[in-house]
Amino acid sequence: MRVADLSIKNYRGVREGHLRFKSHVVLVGGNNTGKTTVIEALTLLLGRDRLIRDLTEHDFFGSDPQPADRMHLVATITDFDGDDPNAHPDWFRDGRAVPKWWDETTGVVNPAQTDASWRLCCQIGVQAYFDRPSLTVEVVRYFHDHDGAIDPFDDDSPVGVPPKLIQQFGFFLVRASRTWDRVLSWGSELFRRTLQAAAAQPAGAILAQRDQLRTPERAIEDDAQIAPLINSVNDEVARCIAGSPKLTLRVTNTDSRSVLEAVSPHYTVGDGMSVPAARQGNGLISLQGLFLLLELGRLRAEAGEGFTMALEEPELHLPPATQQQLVLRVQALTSQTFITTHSPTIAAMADPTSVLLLRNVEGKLTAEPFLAQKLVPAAANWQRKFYQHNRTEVIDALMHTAVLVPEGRSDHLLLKTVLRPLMLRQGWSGEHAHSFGLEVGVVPTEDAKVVETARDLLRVHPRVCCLVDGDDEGQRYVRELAGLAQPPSVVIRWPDGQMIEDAIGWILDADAVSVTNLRNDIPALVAADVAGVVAHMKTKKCDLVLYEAVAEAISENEACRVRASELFQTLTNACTGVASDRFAVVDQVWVFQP
Amino acid sequence: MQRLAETIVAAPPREGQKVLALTFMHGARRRLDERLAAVPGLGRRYECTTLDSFAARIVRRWQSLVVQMGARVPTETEYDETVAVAATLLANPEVVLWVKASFPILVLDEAQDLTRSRLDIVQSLATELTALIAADEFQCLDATLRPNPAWEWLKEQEDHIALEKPMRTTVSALLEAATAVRAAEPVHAGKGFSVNFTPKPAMAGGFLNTYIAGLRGSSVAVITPSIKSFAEGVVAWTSQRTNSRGRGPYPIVWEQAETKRAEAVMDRIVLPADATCSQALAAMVDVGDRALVREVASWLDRLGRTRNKSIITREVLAERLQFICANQRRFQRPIDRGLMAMSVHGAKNREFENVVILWPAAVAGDDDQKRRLLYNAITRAKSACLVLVQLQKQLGQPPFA
Repeated sequence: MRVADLSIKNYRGVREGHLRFKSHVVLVGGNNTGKTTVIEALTLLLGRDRLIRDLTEHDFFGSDPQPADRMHLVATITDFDGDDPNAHPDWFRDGRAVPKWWDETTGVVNPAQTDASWRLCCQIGVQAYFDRPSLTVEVVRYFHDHDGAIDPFDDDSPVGVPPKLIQQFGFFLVRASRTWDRVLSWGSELFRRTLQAAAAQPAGAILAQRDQLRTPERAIEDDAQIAPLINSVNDEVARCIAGSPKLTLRVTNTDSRSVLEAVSPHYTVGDGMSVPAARQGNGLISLQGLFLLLELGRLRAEAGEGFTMALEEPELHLPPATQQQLVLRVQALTSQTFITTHSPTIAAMADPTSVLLLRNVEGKLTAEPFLAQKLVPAAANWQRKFYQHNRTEVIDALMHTAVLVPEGRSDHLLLKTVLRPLMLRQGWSGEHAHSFGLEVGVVPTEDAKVVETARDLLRVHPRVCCLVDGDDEGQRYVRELAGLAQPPSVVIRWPDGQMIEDAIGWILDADAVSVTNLRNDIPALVAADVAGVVAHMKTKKCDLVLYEAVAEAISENEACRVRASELFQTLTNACTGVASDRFAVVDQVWVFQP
Repeated sequence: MQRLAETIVAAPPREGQKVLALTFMHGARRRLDERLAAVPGLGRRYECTTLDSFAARIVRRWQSLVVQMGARVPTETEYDETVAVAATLLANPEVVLWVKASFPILVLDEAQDLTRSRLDIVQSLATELTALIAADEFQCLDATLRPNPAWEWLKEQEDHIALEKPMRTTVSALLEAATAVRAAEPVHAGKGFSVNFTPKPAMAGGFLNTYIAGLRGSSVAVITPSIKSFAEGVVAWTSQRTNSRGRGPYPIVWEQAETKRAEAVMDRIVLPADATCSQALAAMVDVGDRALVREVASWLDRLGRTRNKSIITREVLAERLQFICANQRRFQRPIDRGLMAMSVHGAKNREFENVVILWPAAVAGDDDQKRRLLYNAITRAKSACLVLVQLQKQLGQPPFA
C-alpha cells in the first residue's frame, strides 16, 4: 500500500494544498514552505495514536480558528494487491472503506472503475475544529467517502479507521528533532515493537539479572560501613513489632519490569570502558536508531506487512557517504518513503520525478516534481546534462528565493567563482555580496538553452530570472522569452555589445593595479591591461584556472571588492525586482549600466 | 429463527461479519433484536436496523457513485427517494458484494409490506447474501401492493416461509377470531374476545370506561380503521366523562403522525425573524416537550461549535423538528404502554396487552380490505380484544360474518 495523494486545508502554514506522491518521495523547499507540515499531516492521517501530537490553535492556518475553520486532510491509499476490493475485506466492506479508483495519469479518484488501468483505492480523512467553549481541539479520523457536504461531526457518526488497519499500514516517522539516546532500550516503543516482531525478548538474561539483584553476592546492607546502622534499625523495629521484617537494600524493585526499565544502552570502543549512549556523539546513536528502525521494516516486510517511513532531514549528524547508504537502505526496505531534506546531495540521489519542490504562496501549497516525466531516450543532450548530471547544482539553485538562468555555463562558473572569495572575506557591514549567494541560485545552463531552461524551471519555481548577453543572440533570447506563455519574472541583459567578461573588466577597472596580481599567475597575461584580460577571458571560456585567478585578484583589492559587491547586490535587486542605479529598465529588460 | 441457526452452523460468519436483520419502522426492531439474541450460535453477531436507515447508510457512503450515475442525492428527510436511490446503487454487484463482506446473511420479516423499490433492495441483496425472508400476504394493508410483489417473488423461491398463524398470543378465542376473519367466516365471542354493538359515542365511551376499569391498569390500545367522528367521539368521551357506574374519566392520547407533531410544536413557538441560537432554544423550552428540547439543544450546541451559524430562522427550525420527530418515530421504538389511540396503520407491526377496536359505520375499501384491517387490529392483542361496532347490521356483514 502507498499514499497516492494528499490534500491539506487549514493545517499549520497551509491554507490549501494538494500533493501527489510516487513511491520514494523527496520533499525539497525553503524553510517554512511546509515540508514538515506535509509529514505531520500524513502522521495525523496514518500514524498510530502515539505518534500524533496534541493539536492546538497553532495547528490551524492563521492560529485563530473560528468554528467553521475546519482543518481538513484527505489521503488516498492505493496499491492493494490484485486491485480487487473483495480480496481485502478488512479495508473494503460495510463499516469500512468504500472502494474507489485512482487514475494515476490524472490524479482523479473515481467512484467506479471504467478504465482497466485505474487502481483500487480508499480515502482516509481527518477533520478537526477548535472547540471554543472547552478550549480543546476535536479531531476525527474517518474513511472519507466523498467530497460532498457530509460533516463527520454531525449526527451520523463517521466510519472511523480502526487501529488494526493503521497498524497494518505501518507508518513510521523519524522527526528532525530526534532523541535517539533512549532508542535502544525498553523505554522506546520502537525497540519494543522490533523485539516483538522479531520474537527476540531476552527473557532468560533478564530473569538471570533479576535473580542476581534479589540475592547479590555482596549485599549493600552487609557492608561494614553501613551494617551497624542497619542492625540497630532492625533491633529497634523488632522491639516494637513481633516477627518484624528485616531491612535489606536492593538495586531496583527486583522484578523483571524494573530490570527492563533500568537497562541503558552503552557503547564500547575497542577494549575500553563502555560509555552510556547519552555521552556518545549524535552520529553513532542516530545511525543505530535508524538501523533498528530498518530492522523492524525488514521484519514487517518478511511478514507481508506494510512499512512506510517518513524521515526528516536524514543529513542530520551523518557524513555524506552514510546519508547516501542510509537513504538507499530505507528505500529498499519500505513500500514508500517520505524524506524531507535541505541537502541537494540527498535530493539528487532520488529519481528526479520523485523530487517534489514545495512552494507556499500565502498559504497555498503546491508541489511540482523536479522532472515532470522520465526523460525519453530521445531527450536532448542539454536535458540529460541538466536533469541527470548536474542535478545537484540545479536542485541547489532551486532552493533559493530566485533562480537565475544565465545564457551559458561560463556565466554560471564565473559568477560562482568570483562570489566565493568575496563571501569568505566579507566584513560585518558595508559589503553585500553575500545576499546574492543567499537569495539567488544560479543554474548551469547547457548549450545556451536559456529559453528552454527558463520555461522548464518556471513550472517548478515562482521566480525565474534570465541573464543574456548584449549581442544579437541575446536580443533574440529576450524576444523569445517575452513570447513564452508564462514569461520569466525578470530578464537581465548586459549592455549592448557586452557580456559577463566585460562586467568583470568593469570590476577590475576600479583599480587597474589589481591586474598586476593576475600577471604573475597567468603567463599569457604578462603584459596585459584590463582590456587585454577581458579579451583573453572571452577566448578562454570556462577556464577554471583563469577564473580562480581573476576571482583572487578581485578579492585582494579593496576597490575591486567594493565594485564586485555592488554588482552582486544590484544583480540581487534586479532579480527580486528592486530598482537600482546599476540596472535601467529598457523595454521591460533590466540592462546593466557600468 | 430455527432456519437462521441452521444457516449459521452450515456457514459460520467470519471474524468481523454479522447477520443483517432488517425490519420496517416502529417497534418491530426491538422484538426482532430479542428474538435474534436467543438464536443459538449467533452471539451478538447481528445488526438489527430498519430497512430505511440501511438504505440511508448505503446512499450516504456511496454518494459519489450516486453523483456519477447522474442521480440527485436526496436530503435526509426524503425517505422514499433515499430508498429509490439505494435500490439503484444496489443494482451494482460491487455494492452488494461490499455489503456481503460485512453481512453474509440477511434476515427480513413482514416482507409483504415491501414497496417496489424496497423490494428491489431486498432482491439485489438476495443475489449474493443468504436471505431468510418471512412474509404474510394477508397482513398487507396497502391496496396498491395487490397483487403483492414481494409475495409473488417469494412464491417463486424454492424455500419461502409463509406465516399464516398469528404468533403473538396463545389466547384461543383471539386465535380463532383471527383465523375466522382470514377465512371469511363468522367470528365468535369467547374468553378474551367479544364484539358489541354501540351506536353512539356516549354509549361506546361508557362501555370503554367499564372495560378499562376492569383491566386494573393493564395497557390498552384503542385502534380504529378510520379516525373520524365515531372514534374521535368515543375517545373524547372516555377522556373526559364518568359513566353511570362511576368509572372514568380515562385520558387517552391520539398518537400523532410525525409531521403533525412537528407542526403542532411549531404552531406554539414564538420566534423572532432572525433568532439567535439561545433565543431559539428558549422558545423550545417554553413549549415544554423535554425530549424535543434535548434534541434541539444538542443540535444548536453543535452548530455553534462547528459552524459559524448564529441565525436560526423559523424554516430552519421547522425542518429540524420534522427531522427529529421523524427519526424518533422511525428509528426508535414507540411506547406501547398505558392508554393510547391510533389507526390500524399506526398499530402495524406492534403489539399491545389489550386492544379495543372501534369499528365505525363507514370503513373504506372492499370486503377483502376490511378483513385485512380487522385481522391486523385483532392480531395486535396479546391478552384480550374488544370490538365496538357502530351499526348493528355490520355484525352480520364482512368482515365479521
